[in-house]
Amino acid sequence: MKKILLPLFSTFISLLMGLLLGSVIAAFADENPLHILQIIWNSGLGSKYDLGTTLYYANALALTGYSVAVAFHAGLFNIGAEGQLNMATLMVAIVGLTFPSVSPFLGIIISFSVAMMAGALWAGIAGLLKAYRGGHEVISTIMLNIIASALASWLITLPVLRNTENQNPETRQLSLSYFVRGADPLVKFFMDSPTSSSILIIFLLAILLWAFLFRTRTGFAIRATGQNEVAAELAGLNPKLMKVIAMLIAGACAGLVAIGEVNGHTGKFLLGFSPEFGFMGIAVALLARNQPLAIPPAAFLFAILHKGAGDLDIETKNITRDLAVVIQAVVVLSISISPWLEEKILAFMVNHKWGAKE
Amino acid sequence: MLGVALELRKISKQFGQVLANHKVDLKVHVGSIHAIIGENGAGKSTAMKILCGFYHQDSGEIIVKEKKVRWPSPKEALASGIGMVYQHFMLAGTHTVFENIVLGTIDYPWSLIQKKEARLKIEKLSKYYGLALDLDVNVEKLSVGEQQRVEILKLLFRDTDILILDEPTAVLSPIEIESFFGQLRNLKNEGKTILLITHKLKEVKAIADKATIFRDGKTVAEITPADFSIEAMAELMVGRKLVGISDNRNNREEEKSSEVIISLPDFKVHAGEIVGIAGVEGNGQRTIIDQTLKLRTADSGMLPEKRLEEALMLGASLYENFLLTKWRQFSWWLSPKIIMPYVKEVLSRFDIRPLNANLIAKNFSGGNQQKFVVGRELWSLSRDLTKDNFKGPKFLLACQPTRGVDINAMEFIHQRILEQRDRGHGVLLVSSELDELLRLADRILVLYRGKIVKEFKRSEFNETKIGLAMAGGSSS
Repeated sequence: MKKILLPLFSTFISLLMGLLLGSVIAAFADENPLHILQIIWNSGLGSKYDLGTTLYYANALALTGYSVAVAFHAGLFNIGAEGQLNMATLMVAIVGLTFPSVSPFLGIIISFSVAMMAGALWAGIAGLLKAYRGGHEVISTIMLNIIASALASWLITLPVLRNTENQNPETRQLSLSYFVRGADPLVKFFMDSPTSSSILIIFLLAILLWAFLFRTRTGFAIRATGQNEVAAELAGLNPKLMKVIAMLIAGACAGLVAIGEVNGHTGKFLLGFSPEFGFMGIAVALLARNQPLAIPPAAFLFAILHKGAGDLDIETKNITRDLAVVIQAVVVLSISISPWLEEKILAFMVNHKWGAKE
Repeated sequence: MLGVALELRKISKQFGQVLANHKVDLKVHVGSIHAIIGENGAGKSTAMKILCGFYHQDSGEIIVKEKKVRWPSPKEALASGIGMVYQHFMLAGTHTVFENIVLGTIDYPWSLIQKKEARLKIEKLSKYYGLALDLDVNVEKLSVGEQQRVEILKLLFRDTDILILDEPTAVLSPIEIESFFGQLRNLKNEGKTILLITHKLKEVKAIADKATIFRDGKTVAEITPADFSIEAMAELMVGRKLVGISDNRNNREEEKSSEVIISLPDFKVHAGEIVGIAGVEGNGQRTIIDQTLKLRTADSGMLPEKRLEEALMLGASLYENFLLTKWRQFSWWLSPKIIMPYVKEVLSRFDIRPLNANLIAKNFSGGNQQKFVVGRELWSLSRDLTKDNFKGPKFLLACQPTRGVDINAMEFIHQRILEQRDRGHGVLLVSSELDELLRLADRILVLYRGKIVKEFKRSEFNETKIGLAMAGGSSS
């Protein structure tokens, strides 16, 4: 019990600190903090449509959160989720435009495979460079982010892909074999908001990734690599390979953002569709302490803040959406003190003979 | 005897659920060598780290030079003359001896006058206390014994008069220990007070004026080592009578098997044999270990030299550390329900405390960590009807298996290694402790400058001759 309740409590404290500091800033800006919180709350959860939009963000944030967390378990800092999801989305759009007339069933299978493979390959480059050439993954993933977005900007100008109907930097619309939004019951339920049934993936992934990391041999080998590479190698594990595998899985997770985007939302690749989901995913993973089962709620929380931020621009005089970013940042900062906090609480409990039975 | 240099009164300190110190009392006189002895996890290091400002006590008081003190950090302790040499040296390898010594003391690094003064002072100190060193050599090029001298000079340079040394002889060869003791006596004769954290009772008897014994976080006795036998001290330390190590070696001296367990380029290890590798560290042990690792079969175990870096994942639970080398014995689905009983079996069989497989490895004392590593390596799932999971691997590579562990754990580990041999398994024992080799090995190979220079059979064991061979001397 202690093992779960204590981190939960200290995470709650971190969240409280974020909101508190946000309120103080709001007060300085001559706004009523309660009003601000109310705007964020209403904007994030106020209606079915709002909730749907929040879930759309939560979907992407959870997937990039998984991406960061899995890599982190292997001791790698994956800053490249942004590039991986861009590559995956672009590839799904390209493949979809190349083979437009397949059955919707096949279309979905193709989309899933392409999304995961494209993300995995893009992340795998960084994994290979790290494992076999010592290239630092932070540098290489940042570079791959830049390459991905530059590549995307160029590719969508090609006549075969370009959308000729408007001036937007985007590809043409995919056929209905891929763009299955119309048949999605969840879309109707959430009043045609950007979300779709793809949200279900994240719950499935939470369980799959937890089982993989904490119950299988390969998962154990990945975590051992992250904990102590030298010991892992002496114990007969293959840390180099584990790093590559971890990056492949991380990339595949980030790549799945393409499903919610292309198949479930727009039916095309739009340059810059992601408001830096990849980087917010880092914060989500931190908040969830890299625990797959904790990532969906963490992502939902950050999604509310992100969604609510938009309305701060419109509904207040002195405050912009940046306040939400400040709150997110303070929450992440406060997370860093939670091990200390937990130790103090534990010592207090021992001193006062609380929960003496272990 | 002169006045009291320092006193700890009823110091208590708690880490999480562990009570590391409980009402610790300690009184040290000026100009004495005071040994702090106790098993691993008995609270010696914690008490000393509180004394030098690294930790803070939860209750109790520290009195230094008749004043009650409480230091915010080691810096203030150092300023009032208390300094500590940690077991793992705190030196910058790529800098010279001089730079390491003055690090942090010169206000203006570019000031040539200050540097010159500092240099003069260091030279004076090193001559005065007989700590000879070349000041312009990079520290990484020095031997461990010389690095220790740098650490001590570092403290002397800061006008420290109470020196705390944490297991200083753990990394020294027999010859270096002798000269190190000479240096300690010099320091003492010049009025310095020395606190010596150790568990080697032979050394306590040889050099300490007084000794305080720690057990289970408490101070149980203050004794004058000269009046006590080593056995008596050991019993105070452990808190019960010690049973001597039983060895039926003499009966089986000649019945060496011809079955080869592992065949290295320069020598072979046979079944039922413990081969010892002697030599001052850095004389080619690494090469032999690497060769062994390449040749080992699946049925082998390893106790690496650096347990923290090579054998454990400090941030992971013992359950996971158990899996680290044992994952092969389970299916691809690692179910705690199936595996946990085995981890508990290791913990209870090897008396590892606290008996909780969910605690992370960092929270265990060095001795318990090492016992866990030994237990893990000797464990393997029995495939026959005996259900004995501790038959041990066919081949065991043990590198410094008792470094930094207490007597109790040492006895225990030695016993297990001998058991391995008696079962007809092979053991390769690499150790810088000559006593350990003399006690366990069936034959000893001496390494010097990367080569095996001499081989001793059990009947030829002789401490002086082996020590000489270790130093590169040719004995006939």
